[in-house]
Parts: sequence; structure tokens; C-alpha cells
Amino acid sequence: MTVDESPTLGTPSAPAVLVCCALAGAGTMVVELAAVRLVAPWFGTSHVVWSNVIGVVLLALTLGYVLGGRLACGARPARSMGLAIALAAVWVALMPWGANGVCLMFMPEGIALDQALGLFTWGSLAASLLLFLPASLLLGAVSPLATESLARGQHLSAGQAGGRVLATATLGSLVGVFGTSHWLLPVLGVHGTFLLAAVLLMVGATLLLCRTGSTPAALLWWLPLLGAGQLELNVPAVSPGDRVLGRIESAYQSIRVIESGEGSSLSRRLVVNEALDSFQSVWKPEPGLLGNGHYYDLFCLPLAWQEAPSTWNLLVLGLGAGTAVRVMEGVLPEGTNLVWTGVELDPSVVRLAQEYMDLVPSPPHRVLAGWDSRAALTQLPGPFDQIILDSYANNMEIPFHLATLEFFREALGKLAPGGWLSLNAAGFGVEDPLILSVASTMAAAAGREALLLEVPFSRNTLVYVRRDADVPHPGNVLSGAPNTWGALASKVPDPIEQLLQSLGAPGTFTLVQPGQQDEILTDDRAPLEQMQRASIARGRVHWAGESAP
Amino acid sequence: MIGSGFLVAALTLSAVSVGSQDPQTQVYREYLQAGNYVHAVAAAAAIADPLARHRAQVEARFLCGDLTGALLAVRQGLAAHPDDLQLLINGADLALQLLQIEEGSKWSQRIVRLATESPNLPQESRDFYHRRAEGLVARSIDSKRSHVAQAAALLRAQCTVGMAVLLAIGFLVVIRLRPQS
Repeated sequence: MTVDESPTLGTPSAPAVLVCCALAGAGTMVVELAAVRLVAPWFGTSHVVWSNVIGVVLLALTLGYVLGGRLACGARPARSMGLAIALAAVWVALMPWGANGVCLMFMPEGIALDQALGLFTWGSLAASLLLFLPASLLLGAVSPLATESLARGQHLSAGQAGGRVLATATLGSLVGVFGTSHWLLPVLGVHGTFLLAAVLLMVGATLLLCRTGSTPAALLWWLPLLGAGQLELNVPAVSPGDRVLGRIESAYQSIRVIESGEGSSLSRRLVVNEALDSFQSVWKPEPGLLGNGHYYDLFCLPLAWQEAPSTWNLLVLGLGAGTAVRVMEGVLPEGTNLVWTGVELDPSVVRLAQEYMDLVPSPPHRVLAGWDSRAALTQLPGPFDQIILDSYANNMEIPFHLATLEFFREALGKLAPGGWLSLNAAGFGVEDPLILSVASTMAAAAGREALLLEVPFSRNTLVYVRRDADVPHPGNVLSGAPNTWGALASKVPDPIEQLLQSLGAPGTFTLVQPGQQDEILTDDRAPLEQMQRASIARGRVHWAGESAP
Repeated sequence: MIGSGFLVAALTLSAVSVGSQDPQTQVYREYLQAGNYVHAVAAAAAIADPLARHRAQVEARFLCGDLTGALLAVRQGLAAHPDDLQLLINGADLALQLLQIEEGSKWSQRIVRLATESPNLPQESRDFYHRRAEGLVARSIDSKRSHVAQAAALLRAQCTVGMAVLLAIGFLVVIRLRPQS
């Protein structure tokens, strides 16, 4: 049933209605894309979070279409449309402010990353429902209302009106998608993006409400919006005594540099998104080993396991703030010159590292910022003495294309004979199926056994394979058999020698043979995200769950 | 993208006293002093006195950064010496660090009880164990609180999702049933 809208109440022109449709379409996409970034400091940006946000927006649009269809039967669909957009604008403006409270309901402070596993799924879904459903629902109601308004005002058929509305709304969505990812988020940040979207929506709402004779109401709607613009954006608090030195909303993630301690205990950590108890890069005032719990130290072991050449060509895939390089610079054997190349996907990480973590990529060193590690690897000529693979997504996932048989073969092909491929794997010990699977894939690519070494006081494990050479056997440490485990220790700086003496206790290492029956990851099939979640789910129980005798 | 690290231990092990009569104990201590912890693990296993052996195994494993192995050694030690305060303190510390909250809490409370009831314990030692136990009990309460908060948040999230689904269904039903104007 349709009801003719009286001309005396004011009928907006077709362009005005279509502009509002485009704005609503763009607003929906801004909410959808920026939503993930808004909740990222608590829940990350994993596929699960993306799925939850997209699912909530789709549910909201479904309900919104039903609501819009119902309201379209009313006397003044254009006015209803204006009100829906105005209300959505206010909600969008308030989202960044409300995110802290809502997300903390479902992700309490002070819990560890692996404790938060269930909350990533359920918490992000619940938070998305509370935060994003209302605005998306209201924006979903716009299309049916606009169709009805056009049909009545311009005397179009339902098909004609619907076609125009869908076309403009989709065009607006297209602008919203590209604008949000490529311009709004990197330039304005999350808060600015939501605020700009709210302002644009409110402009459209004002246009419609004024055209339908509701000018005072239209102006009143700006008041809550202006109030919301004054609110401070809430972000997760840092631990007492910690200081946030720098913060960037990059195109990829929310990044913070956090400083702790004073004097000799001064340190800085680069963390992204939800972080919880994990870190991405660490800085201490002096280069060199970082000490217990820091996996970067173990990247230096190849320097003690072979005669280092006069120049050690190092490639770091997943440079971060350059911690691996800084650690190695501090423990180079005498007479060895380090030449490093770093690849980092997020240029903002490099920018923060240069500002706060002493990353100096001057020749002969170089940084490929903005490059995917695999794409960069194909471009780099090599040969390298060591390739460090330290690439992570969402704090806990090795990107699948950087853990496959094909990728490891490419990487080994860039090594000099006897060169080292070393990988940081986060997990729960050397028996973790995820780590064994990655190590088996490395061993298969090399055709030689891989060494897995638990990092002391940490949940990380380092995996090493060599090109055309064997890895050292920690088991020989105790048997006294000759090997390269500590053979060169007298020639390397003391800190590495000391480190070697605490590595290789029974149960803290293993060797994986090529062809061992663990799942080999390939470009065709590498379910790393699922494996990572399974690893965390079983981790704590397995980690310390051996039954008492 | 960039690598991810997880520190798990911010604790320091309570100083372990290991009897010095056994020559293997001397070997063990020499390895410890030299920072050669992997050899110390092997030397600890050869110590003759069972209690000293268990204590040394916990210490050497911990110094290697092998917290799981250290906790396992505590469990083995406590199975044979359930009232040893050093093993209990180090065990509670490790268990809480590895989020084995029930175990850590149980051992912390046992320290309090033993420190109060042991007739031969000098007052100074009694005070020391009380202080350590109080700290451990406080940590176990914090850990439990964190665990409860996590469980509550999960339940809250699941209830919110359930409510949202019901509301969405209700919304559709109301829209469908309500007569149009």
C-alpha cells in the first residue's frame, strides 16, 4: 500500500533523495570498515572479527530494510528517511566514545592473550551488536524509504525508483569503501573517520528535513552531534608506570610505542591492536641481547654455529622496529660487518621505529617499507647468510603465504650455501602441532632436518634450517660429542656463549626430519588461523598440564 | 607484518638450598656458577639426596627458562616431600605464572599452614615464609579474579548475542503482525 505524500508537506527533489541514498551507502561502508579498527585495540582484526562485524552489519541491514519498508507506508517517507539518517549520524558520532565501555564489558583488562581466545569470537560479536547494529539498521531503512519517496514524488514505478536508489546507494558504498581504507583511516584516524561520516550523514539528514518542512528539528539534530565531537576517544589503558610515546592509526593497524622503567631498566615496546600481553618489537638503550624471554636473542645463534664471514648479509622479513637487527649489531663477532635489509609491510611501524627505537636504515642497510615479505623476497637478489622470518598478523598468526612449502623454497633459494633460515613461531613448546607443522614444512623445503628451540621464559620457539648443510644437535651438548653447538663459542661475544649454555636442555628442543608425518603447509592449503586457535586453546592445558606422578 | 613475542616469566626463583656433602652437588653448583645451566640440569639429576635432587632440578630447569619442566619437577618433588617449604614456594610461584591457579592457590595455602604449625621452624624463617605466602595468596586471588572476569565476560557476550537474536526475531514478528496504518 502506498499513500500519496501531500505536496504541502514538502517533497524533496529526486537529486536530494539520491544524494542522501549515496551518503547512507557510504556511511554504511564507513561504519563497516572502520568498525573493525574501532574494536581492534581489544579484539584485533582477525578473520573472526571481520566476519562478526560484517555479519552484524548484514543483520542490521536486513532489519533496516524491513523497518524502512514498514515506514514507507507512512504519510511522509522522506521525513522518516531524514530522521533515520539523523539518528544514525548521532549514533555514528558516539561510537568511538562508547567503544571503550562496551569493549571492556567483553574483554576485561589484565587477561593474557591466550586466555582471551573465546572472547575474540563472542566478545567481538557482542560488542559489534551493541555498537554497530543500531546505526547500520537505521541506514538500512533509508533505501526503501528513498524508493517510496522517489516513486511518489517523481511518479516513477517501483522498479524505476528502486533501480535508481540501489545504483546511487551502491555508488556511495563504493566511495565509502575506497575512501575509508585509503584516505579516511590513515589521514583522519578512527575518531576522525567516524566524525566525518557523522557530519556528512547529518548534512544529508538536514537537507531532507528542511525540504520536508522540519527545519527547526533539522537544526536541533546538530546539537548532539556537536557534543559528540567534543568527546575524547577512549583507548585501552596502559599499565601503571608505562608511558605512551607515540600512537598511529595506520592503514593496517593501531600502533603504539610504550615506554617502561627508568635508567638502566628503561625499555620501549611496539604493540599493535589488542596486544594484551604480547609485543611486536622491543628497544633498550644499548644494542645487544635483550635477555630472558626475548626471542630476538636466538636469531644471533647462527653467528656462533658457523665461521662468520667478514660480511654477514642479513634479510629480515617482518622488520617491525628493527629489534632483531639491533640485537645482532650488539653481539657481532670481531671482524664481522653486518649488512642488513629489512622488509616491513606497514610504513607507519618504520616511521615510529625511526622516531623512538633508533632504527637507522642508512646505506648499505635498507628498509623496504610498504612491501609484503613474499613479494619483496622475489625482488631481492641475495644471496643472504641468514634470513629471519618474523612476520605476524593479528599478534599471533603467521600469514599463511609466509609459511608454505613454496615460500620456504623461495627463501632457501635466496640463501648462500650453508645459509640459515630462522623463523619465530609463537606457540606452546616444541610439541605444539602448529609449530611442528611449520617446522616440517621448512624441513621439507630444505630437504634437511629442522631444529626447534624453545625460547627461555617465553611462549616462542625458534625454528632453524640451513641450505645444503645440517643444523647443530643440542643433544650433543650433554654427550660431549663434537658438533657446532658451541664449537665457535670462544670466538663469539660472551653474551651469546652464555646464552648457548642455557639452551638445549632435554625437553626444550626437538629435531624435525623432512618427510615427518606432520601436516605440510602449501600455497594450496595452509589453515594457519585455525591451527593457531587450536594451539592456543590447548596451549595452557598442555603447557603445564602434565599430571603429577 | 611483524613478529610477536610473549614473555611468560617475571618471577625470580626463591633461593634454593642444596646440601653440600654430595660431590655431585659440588659439580652441580660449579655448573650453576659458570652459568652452564644445561649441564646443571644433568648434574642435578645425579644428586644422591632425593630432596636436594628435586630442589636442584627445579632450580636448574627454571634457570634454563624451562618453566614447564620446572613445574613438573616441583610436582615430582612434592609427591615425595609434600611439606617441603622451598618446593612449595617455588611451585606456587611457577604454577601461578603458568596460570595453574588452583594448584598455585593450594600450595600457597599449604605454605601458610606449615609456616604456622611447624614446631621446629625458627621465628625468622616463620616470618619469611609467612611474607612469601601472603604474596603468593594475593597473586592467586588476583589470578582467580582475572579468570572469573574472563568467564563472566564470555557469559555476558553469549547472553548479549542471544538477546540480540531474540530481539531481532521479535522485531520481525512485531513488524509482520502489527497492522499497517
